[in-house]
Amino acid sequence: MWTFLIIAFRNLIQARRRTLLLGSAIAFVSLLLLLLLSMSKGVSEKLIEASTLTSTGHINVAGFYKQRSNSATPLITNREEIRKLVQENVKGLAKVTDRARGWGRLIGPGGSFNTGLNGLIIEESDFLKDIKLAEQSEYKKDGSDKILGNIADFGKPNTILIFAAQAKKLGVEVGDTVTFISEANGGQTNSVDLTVTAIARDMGFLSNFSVFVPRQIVQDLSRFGSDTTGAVWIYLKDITRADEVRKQLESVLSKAGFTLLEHDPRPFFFKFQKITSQDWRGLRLDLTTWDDEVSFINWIVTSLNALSVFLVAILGFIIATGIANSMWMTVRERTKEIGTLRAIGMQKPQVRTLFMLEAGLLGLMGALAGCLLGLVIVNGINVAHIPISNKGLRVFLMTDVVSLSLKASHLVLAIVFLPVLTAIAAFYPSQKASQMPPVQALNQGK
Amino acid sequence: MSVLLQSVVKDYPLGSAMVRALHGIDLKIETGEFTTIAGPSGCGKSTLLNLIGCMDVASSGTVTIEGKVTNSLSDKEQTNLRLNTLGFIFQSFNLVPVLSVYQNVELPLLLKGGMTSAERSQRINTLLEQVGLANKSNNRSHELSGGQRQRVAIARALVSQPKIVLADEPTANLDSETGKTIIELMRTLNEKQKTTFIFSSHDPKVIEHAKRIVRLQDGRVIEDVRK
Repeated sequence: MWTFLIIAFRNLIQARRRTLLLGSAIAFVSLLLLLLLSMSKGVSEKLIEASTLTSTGHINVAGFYKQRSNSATPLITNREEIRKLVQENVKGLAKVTDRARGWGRLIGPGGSFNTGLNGLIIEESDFLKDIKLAEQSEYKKDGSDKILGNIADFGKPNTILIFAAQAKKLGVEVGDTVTFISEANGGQTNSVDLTVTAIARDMGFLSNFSVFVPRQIVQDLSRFGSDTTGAVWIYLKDITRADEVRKQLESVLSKAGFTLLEHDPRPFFFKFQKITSQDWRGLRLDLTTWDDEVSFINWIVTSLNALSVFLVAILGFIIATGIANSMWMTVRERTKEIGTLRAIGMQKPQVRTLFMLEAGLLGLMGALAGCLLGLVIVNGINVAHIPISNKGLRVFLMTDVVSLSLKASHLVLAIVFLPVLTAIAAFYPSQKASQMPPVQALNQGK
Repeated sequence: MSVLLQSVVKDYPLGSAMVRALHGIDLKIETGEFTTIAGPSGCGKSTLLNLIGCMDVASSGTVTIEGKVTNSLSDKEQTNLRLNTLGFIFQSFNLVPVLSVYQNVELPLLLKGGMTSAERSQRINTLLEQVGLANKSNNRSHELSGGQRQRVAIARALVSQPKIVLADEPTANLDSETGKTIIELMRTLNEKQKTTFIFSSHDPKVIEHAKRIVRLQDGRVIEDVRK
């Protein structure tokens, strides 16, 4: 095999111009593949980061309470018991917390909008450690690049944390007062004045739908008891186990006497109509994963992945055609060599291997060059913190700087995929070369 | 007996017609013979060597090499016979251009397998010394003269210790002095190793070195002389 490799490698060197041209094309496809994969992964990671910070745990124990058959309130009781069952039964648990949920209209001097209200248990919330505060210029025209406000002030009575785009819409900045009006459990309207203590950087779609207050405020507005909450949020050490743990937890809660809704992989706010139309009363738990809760924006990652597959498939086809053509030329140029090798005792499959190895080696060299270039470019882009100036794109990509995430698996994919593709593309010409009768090959090559 | 041809006929298609290149050849070549197939261009020398070398199949008749009738062998079996029993020397040397002298000679041994690197090295170096190219083992073929290239081809043909070496016009691309040296080298190796050599030539100066001359004309043996 070593001699085959030497022959393949030296023949590639011999046909320098052709090798350089095809190798560059393969390197370009490899680079593009890496950029697309790392962009898709970057968006996917931002989606997980943003969603698990603002909207969902890795697993959520939520549910609906129906006082009447034609109503549905997204809350659960027995939060302490549920949290205890989670603590006792979930392996690989990183943290458990819960969030009270409310819905209403937030009003400021410059405007208003409907939003979800998230009631945080301050001492349990990593959210406050991980959130990035916005510079004044992000929400105020001619504002400075200073970060105003202090995250530590959040949690004082009647405080609220909002996002930059929301602050812009409300026409407020840190220290201003906004009013939240909500409908309580009994149907009456309650309102509260809140001081904006912090304005966070936008996190794409997900930061459009939520504002954050200490749990007590939601409890007071909605008139809930202390054992009632919106959802228990469970964080795992390994997020990939979320679905497996959800199933396990469904069984635990069911055995503990809770009634569970059938798993519906959509966020809770898409389920109101369905639950309202059902004829039952009381509490039913609804377990979802982070993936279910953000399923309505998963199309972003799916679209990026589809685009990557489409582009790489087209370019891969072009490369495969180029390789096949090049191998035809190689076979024609080396007909005498094929005849000689067959005459001195090389079997047909060995001739085929020799030519496929040559194409595979070209693919490998191109892929390695592309990967090397990809590593440099991806790291360069991440270090440069290139801002995304287009607002729509920022919302779509869930980040305000270009963020790529290149994984070892992406490199392995490129390094395996392209040589295999080129070797497959070379199969037919190689097969033809191997089938050539030695005497005919020797005569043609004269 | 090394080679036995019985009533061998070879026809080639030429457009819609068939051209007969060999007309019922009967030939026996004993082990260790140094035989030339002589005759003018187009008389069937190369066709005959191709049939003996299992690179082509007779239209009728039988070709027996070292006791094996080759007509009925599969491609794989024929290739194995070429690898293990036969050695080839070509008119235009046919070295693999991207390999060094050493690697060219090593190739049949690698295809054959079953030898350690040290064993291969010893055999190759001995042969390169015999053909006078011990100091050129790292050179590539384009760095060698025609005569040197043919010496590499001889070493490659002999390295797997074949019973029969076939050479198709081995001196045709060489000047007469170099051609003479190459034939003398082949004869020396034939005497030393008792390998059967069968080579074709139309050059009287080359033919005179053979111990047996089989003369062909229009696809028929017209003379078979042992010196």
